[in-house]
Amino acid sequence: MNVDPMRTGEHPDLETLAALCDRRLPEPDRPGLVSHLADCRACREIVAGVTGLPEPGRSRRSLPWQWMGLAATVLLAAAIAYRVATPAQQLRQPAPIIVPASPEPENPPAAPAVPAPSVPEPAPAAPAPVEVLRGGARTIGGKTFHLEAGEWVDQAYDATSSLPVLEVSDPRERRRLLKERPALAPYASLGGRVTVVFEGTVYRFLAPSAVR
Amino acid sequence: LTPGPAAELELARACARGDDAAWEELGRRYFDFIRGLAARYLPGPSGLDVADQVIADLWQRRKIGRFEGRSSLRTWLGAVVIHAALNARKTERRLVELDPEALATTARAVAPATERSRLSDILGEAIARLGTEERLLVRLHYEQGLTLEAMEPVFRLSKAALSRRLKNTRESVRRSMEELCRERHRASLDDIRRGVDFADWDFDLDALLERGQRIGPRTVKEVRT
Repeated sequence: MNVDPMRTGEHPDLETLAALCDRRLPEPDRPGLVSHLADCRACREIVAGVTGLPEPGRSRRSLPWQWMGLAATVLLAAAIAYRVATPAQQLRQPAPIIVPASPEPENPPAAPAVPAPSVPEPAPAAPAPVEVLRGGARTIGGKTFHLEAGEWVDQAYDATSSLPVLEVSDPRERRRLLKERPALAPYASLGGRVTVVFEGTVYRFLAPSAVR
Repeated sequence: LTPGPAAELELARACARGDDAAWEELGRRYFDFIRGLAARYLPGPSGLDVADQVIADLWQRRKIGRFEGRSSLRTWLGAVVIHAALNARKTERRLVELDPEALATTARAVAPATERSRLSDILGEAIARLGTEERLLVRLHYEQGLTLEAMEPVFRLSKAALSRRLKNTRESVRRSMEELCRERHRASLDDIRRGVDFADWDFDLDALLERGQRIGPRTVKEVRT
């Protein structure tokens, strides 16, 4: 394990971050920590991961609405201003930051966990409509995705399987892959970070803003 | 049943003392959770390696003794695993970046077009002008993809209150961007946006904000004087 930030003196210790997520941090300590988190990506990623943890007794925590990265948000703002956005695109995109948006969607109750099949599903016909399910899961092209710690994860994904994993973070590499395999595009566009099982391979799409 | 805070702290302390029975109990409760969480961040053998390393450190190096009971044991273990997994992921990326071909590709990719750069600067500055809570709200929501519900414990606000704050923050960013466009370029935000092809626009939010924070106050001062 790498050096714990608590030993470096530069970051709050991990238990302080955990206490914030558990609502156990004393209120006087919160402003200083919030100030640190606003400018420290490393600590922010830990807090984001911890707050997205499934609660005990639930294999998945279904979250209600996907918000892509800020880059995608600005892109959508431009799309609204200068292009005609399709209803399906509007459904899966976050509200734009530079265009006043409609109120936040309400979080629906969590959906029950569904066991993940171990066999990858066939490719859908593109373009595939996105359906928002109760509990925040999304189905697209017959696949169901759950939002986990900011990442859309294919229900068919089994972390313990031996399928090859291809991480795609470079924008050029992403474009090249989607050009070669256009059936992946609807999945990749779900959000900034997407894991999808497709034709015997696990593809992990990481938006540039999610990579550092 | 989730054990209470006192029981969790006692379990951790017993593990730190080298109590085999306590260690078995810890394993029964949390090892699957540790392995599953590591695998979510690092699929394949890398995730298993990280989980094994975390478990080994907790026991052999007695890192479990660092737990002080200020959070739940499960949340603390989650933070430990995520921290280790993110570090391992960064190490893997650094190894990839050392490849000359990859470096050349990256250099080409980050070369910004002038119009995009101008809009990126304005956006970065507008976000940098926000207060710390609002800046964190934007970053957790847009950069980390957290929902309003997930952010409730961080801000200690209800979902409805966070929704209102986010809406106000977006409007504040937009107003700042319009102001900056007028001050800096004597143009409207729409004019600036019109010159940008968003279809191929990739940017690093961190770099954007760092740049915005660095040049923001100076620029504002220059304009005001």
